[in-house]
Amino acid sequence: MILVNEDSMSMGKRFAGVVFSPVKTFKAIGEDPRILVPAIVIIVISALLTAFIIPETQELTKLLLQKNPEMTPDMIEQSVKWAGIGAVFSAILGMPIIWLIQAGLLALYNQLSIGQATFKQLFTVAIFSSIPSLINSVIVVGLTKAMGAKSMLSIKTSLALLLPPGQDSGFLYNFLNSANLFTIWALLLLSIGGGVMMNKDGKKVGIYIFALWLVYILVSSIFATKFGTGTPAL
Amino acid sequence: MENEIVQEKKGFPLRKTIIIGLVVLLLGSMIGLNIYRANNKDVVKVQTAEVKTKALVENVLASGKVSALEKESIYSRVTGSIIWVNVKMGQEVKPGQVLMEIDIPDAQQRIMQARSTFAAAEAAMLKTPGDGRSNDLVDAQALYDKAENDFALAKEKLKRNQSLFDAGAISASDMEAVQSAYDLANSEYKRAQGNLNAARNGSSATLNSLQASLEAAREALKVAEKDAEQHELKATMAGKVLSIPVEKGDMIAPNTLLISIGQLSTLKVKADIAEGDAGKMKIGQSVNITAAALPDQIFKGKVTEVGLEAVSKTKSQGESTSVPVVVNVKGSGHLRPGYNVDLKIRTAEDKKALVVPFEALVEKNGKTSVWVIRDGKARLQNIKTGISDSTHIQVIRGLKQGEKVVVNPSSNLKDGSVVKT
Repeated sequence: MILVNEDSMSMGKRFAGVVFSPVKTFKAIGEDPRILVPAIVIIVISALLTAFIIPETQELTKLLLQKNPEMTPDMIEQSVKWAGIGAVFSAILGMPIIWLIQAGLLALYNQLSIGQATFKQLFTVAIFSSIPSLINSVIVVGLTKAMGAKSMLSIKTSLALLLPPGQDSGFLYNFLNSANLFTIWALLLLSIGGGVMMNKDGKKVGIYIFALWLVYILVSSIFATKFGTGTPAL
Repeated sequence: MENEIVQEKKGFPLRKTIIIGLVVLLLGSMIGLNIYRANNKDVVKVQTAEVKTKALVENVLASGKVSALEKESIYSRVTGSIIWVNVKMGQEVKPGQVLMEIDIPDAQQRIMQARSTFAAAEAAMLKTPGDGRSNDLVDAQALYDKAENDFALAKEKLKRNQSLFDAGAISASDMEAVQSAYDLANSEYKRAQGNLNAARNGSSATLNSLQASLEAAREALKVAEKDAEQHELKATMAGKVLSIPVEKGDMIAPNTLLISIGQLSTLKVKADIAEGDAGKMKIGQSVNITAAALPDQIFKGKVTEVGLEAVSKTKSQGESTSVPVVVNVKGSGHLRPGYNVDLKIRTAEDKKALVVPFEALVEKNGKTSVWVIRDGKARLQNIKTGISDSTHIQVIRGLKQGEKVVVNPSSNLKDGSVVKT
């Protein structure tokens, strides 16, 4: 039997432990659920990664807006200027919102299943479950830097990678594109962490989380297929 | 306990290594797939065909009905009934041969009536004077001659008496008497002249009327005699009996079709050619003819007539404009008048035409183009086309033999697109 001094698990170990030993790590997190430090770390890294590709983001925005005949050069310039700032702000503000939603969904399950978790614990689970998203961002940023602004539209970390090159529309594409591998990983961590916190079977939590996610991507795929225009050509 | 801790420490790195390995593999696959997709994103997969030479025959398709080139349909001129039909369908007949016997109930009566009318008209003509003048005309002429003579005498007398009066040899009253006689003679002369003119016109009109009546009677007699001839209906041409719509005992009325005779050694087919193809038609073009009734046979014919005027016809599908053509075909025992046939008219031929399949053509803004693959890229090439058959079209200008063209090009193909077959 391993004696784990859970009180002494450092933040670094927590970050690494979520990847390599999620159950044990989430147990330690549950004993001492700290929100601020991990949240700030993840938000800062995410913002930095976004800021790192601001030039490419602005270039892509300009290329896309130039295709719209109603946009004047002044309008394009203004939009491009705010595109980079907007992307960073989205990274900063977007993540907490997502954590809130994820924690809320877990809290709902906790309530319905009469679980033992607190909201703080569940929120901490949501924060640490977003570590795969950071890895995803690293890959996307790296590929963007290597391949240029135009490639941003075609860079994928989803199951849409399995489709033939050039196929960038249709229901199948939209559905597979929604199935991001790192998102799936994150949801797995969410399920494990939620189960640990609530003292419930992680599999059942997983079924609940994945079912909701499947409904979400199905509906969004249908909407994207019906009303979307596919990936624009540059 | 120390052993357990050591064992635990040894197990942990293995699990970590596996996870790290899996993550690296996943990341490597993702990066590799993204690079592959980026490099092949604009590559379009296409089907191609080679530009080649081919013996090309252009045909225009049409359909029509077979009929005999020379044909006569005999209609009844009378009311009657069929006594006997002497011939059978398909039988060879000669000119003058009796085809059928018809009972015409009042034929003789009509002939006699016509003869009587003719005789009366002839008699009326004979009553007129030998030189063609009527009695009224003769009388008017005589009166005119007398009045002319009297007028001449009165004029002479007036002239003579005027001299005497001028010389004072006669009195004024005598002179007046002579003048009065002259005036009377003048007026009588003029009246006689008018009567003569009227008599002449009337005589002419009467003569014309009698002449016309005589001619009418003569024609009526001819018609009656001709109608009666149908008692024994005779063939007017050599040929085969094509159809006999009537049979023994049938009642017939004027304009009833009795029999059709035709020459089947040469048949003709009249077809309507769509106006778009009409310009390709020429006399002498060879034609392959097939009939649904004779599925395994092809008959050879030639275009002998091409209409110079397009005709509009209203059909169930709407109005269509076409040009009539006539195709002659040698008669065989199998192809019969009345058959519906399909025609394949050979309008043009090229034994070594440079061709592409129809599926390669792109029509835009009135121009014909194809996507040619050069150096692995698709290039839109304008071409000039010529004749065609059912699958290929001739390329007169724009392509070389051996070049590859894209078949059924997709809408996302652009000039310069990298393609793969």
